[in-house]
Amino acid sequence: MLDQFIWWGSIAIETLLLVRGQQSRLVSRYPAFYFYIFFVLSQSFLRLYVYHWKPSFYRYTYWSTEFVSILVGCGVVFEIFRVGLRAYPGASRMARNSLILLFLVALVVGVAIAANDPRWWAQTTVTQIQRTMRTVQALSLFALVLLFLHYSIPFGRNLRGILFGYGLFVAGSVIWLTFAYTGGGRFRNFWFYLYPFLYDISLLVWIGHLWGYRPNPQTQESAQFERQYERIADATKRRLQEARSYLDRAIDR
Amino acid sequence: MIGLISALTVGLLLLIALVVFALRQGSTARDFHSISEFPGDLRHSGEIEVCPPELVARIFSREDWELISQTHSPALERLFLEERKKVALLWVRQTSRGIQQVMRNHADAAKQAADIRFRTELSLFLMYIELLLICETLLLLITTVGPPRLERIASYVHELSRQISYAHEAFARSSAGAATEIPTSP
Repeated sequence: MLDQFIWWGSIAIETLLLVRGQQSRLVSRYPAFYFYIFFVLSQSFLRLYVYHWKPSFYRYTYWSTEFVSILVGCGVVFEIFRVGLRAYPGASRMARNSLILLFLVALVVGVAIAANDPRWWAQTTVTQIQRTMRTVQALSLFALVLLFLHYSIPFGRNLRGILFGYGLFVAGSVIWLTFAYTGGGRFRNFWFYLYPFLYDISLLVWIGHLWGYRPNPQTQESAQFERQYERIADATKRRLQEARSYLDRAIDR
Repeated sequence: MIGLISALTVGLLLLIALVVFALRQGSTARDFHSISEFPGDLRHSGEIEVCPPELVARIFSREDWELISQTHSPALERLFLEERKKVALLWVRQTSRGIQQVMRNHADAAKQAADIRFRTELSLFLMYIELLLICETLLLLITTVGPPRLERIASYVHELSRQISYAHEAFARSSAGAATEIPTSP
């Protein structure tokens, strides 16, 4: 009964989110996010169909849609980065480099582990792969949030909601995937209710923050700055290079 | 594959970061209107109000302590240590606040600079973290062992904070210099 309530609750909020997004034209501002919601909604119906009509395919369908959903979710992370740092080229560059560094480290660690144990692919479960993917996603979100904090990037209500809701969901997923398949079946029911419940909390955060369009605080002022910035870009570049040498000299002293 | 502990740590760290982010967003929105249009505006350059080096050396100097010790008066020694500790703690807290202010101003300027350097930013950030950790350690040590035994580490903190301040000043001046070269009308 409870699982049905959680499931239908998700469907209802997702539908409402999409309708409101269309009405307030938020869909065109945050296309990756709304595509993610649309995908999750579609996958729920697909799973329902397979569960009732092709139950032997359910397991395969469930895990493959989960993986695709993680990949589509990466689009949401990219959108948070793109929209949040649009007016801050410096912070944007820092974020891009940090993420590249992070993915390189993750790749090197992954390759090193695979090289040490050639049978890892055969031994690794679907849950472990999913947990790894979610953890890398959580790490990228964590790096982004640290950058937003460090550079005091002001967020509008809409983007704040997307980040907070999706961050909560990813963090919850990582924790859930860590605990759900360990410790025997003692807390199994608890963890299996928790996962969809966490997603419902994220949906409520989104519906609360994305009811109508609220611009990011920097949008108006940055437009003025960008116009001036185009003219000052060449001069600033030269001066920044001088500043770099000052900085390097000061640091190397 | 990523271990259970690592995955759990990442999940919890993300949760904590999100909570801090949510709490900080309100204050960021309030501060937003005071952010200047130009990167490195000197109105926001922010300098650490560093004490003269002689004063810093004096706060942590053993000379005064040795002089007081020669009086063999426990009450005077206790009074001296208490007062010196208060002055030392005040200096460390002021230095720490100054460092944080300089870094905040630097971040405000740097986030708009298109040609930001990842390595420079990272090294400044690491230096900043190092300084904050040293300040926290100093606070702990001053409280536990007292200022006279901390002369060397205090001088080190002092030198590092001056370096950060110079670096940020140079950055702010060069950026503001670039801005003044731009014609004000199209």
